[in-house]
Amino acid sequence: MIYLLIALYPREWRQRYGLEVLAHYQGQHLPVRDALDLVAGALDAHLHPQWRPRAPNVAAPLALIALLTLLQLAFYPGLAMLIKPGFRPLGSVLPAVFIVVGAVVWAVVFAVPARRRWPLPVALGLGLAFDLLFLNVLAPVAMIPWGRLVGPLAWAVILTAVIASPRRRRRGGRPWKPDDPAAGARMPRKPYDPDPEPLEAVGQFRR
Amino acid sequence: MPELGRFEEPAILVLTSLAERPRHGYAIVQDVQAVAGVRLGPGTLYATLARLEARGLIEGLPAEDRRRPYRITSAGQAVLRDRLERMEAVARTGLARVAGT
Repeated sequence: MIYLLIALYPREWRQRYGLEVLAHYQGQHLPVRDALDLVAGALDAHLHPQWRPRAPNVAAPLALIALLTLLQLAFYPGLAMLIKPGFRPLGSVLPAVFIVVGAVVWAVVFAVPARRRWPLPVALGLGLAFDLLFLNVLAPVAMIPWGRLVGPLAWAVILTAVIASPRRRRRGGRPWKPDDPAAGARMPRKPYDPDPEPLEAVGQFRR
Repeated sequence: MPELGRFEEPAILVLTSLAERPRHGYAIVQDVQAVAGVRLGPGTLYATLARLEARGLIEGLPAEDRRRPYRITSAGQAVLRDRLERMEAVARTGLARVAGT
């Protein structure tokens, strides 16, 4: 029960105070009043975080966006010129629109999940939606016959990028365990002493 | 002690407890209950500790076992002294008025 209640708190809070709260109740009954107080405290910790939030890791998504946009810039005109010898990349408006819209979609697909810390299935779902709607619907509409070829490639890139993303290794939204190194320090298995020796008595923290 | 909202009273209690000596969370709860007759719940206690730490009024000491003692800082002592003096003035005035009625 206490694990579930501590899991309600933000990760930073759990790392800072989780072991202390757990130590209070190890081997003891958790009163309902304290459980409710912990729930209210968790809500407060989410609404009013008292620590500086970690800067979102936007470097990797931005690099991916730049790379994928460059891939599009190289891929669309290059493949078009291979398939259609007479194709002039700068002479048609549609590929340019396609590239710009594609870049925006790439940005949404990668930047939004990274900033909002959406879970992997959401990111993959966005990638799938992008694949189905944009590449397989809009490309034929835009009369780019080779547009369908981009779908499998884009989907492979999305899968690879998302799975390899640092966000993939994020630990969150699961019950807090004291032995989980990712959730904080490892807790020694010692019985909790509810009546500890005063700190001054052991010669520490004397002011 | 600005921006503490509903945690202002628990903050005064916690600072008063730590003004004697560094204490960990459980010892703070026990001391506050003994001194003021108020039982701080764990959510309230750690929300208060987080606010006091964020404002530099207390600081955490190296954890011993699973317990981290907290120590009041000089800024915390100044804030506590100021707040207690105000409360004392209010209490003195109130007692005088009650005695006069």
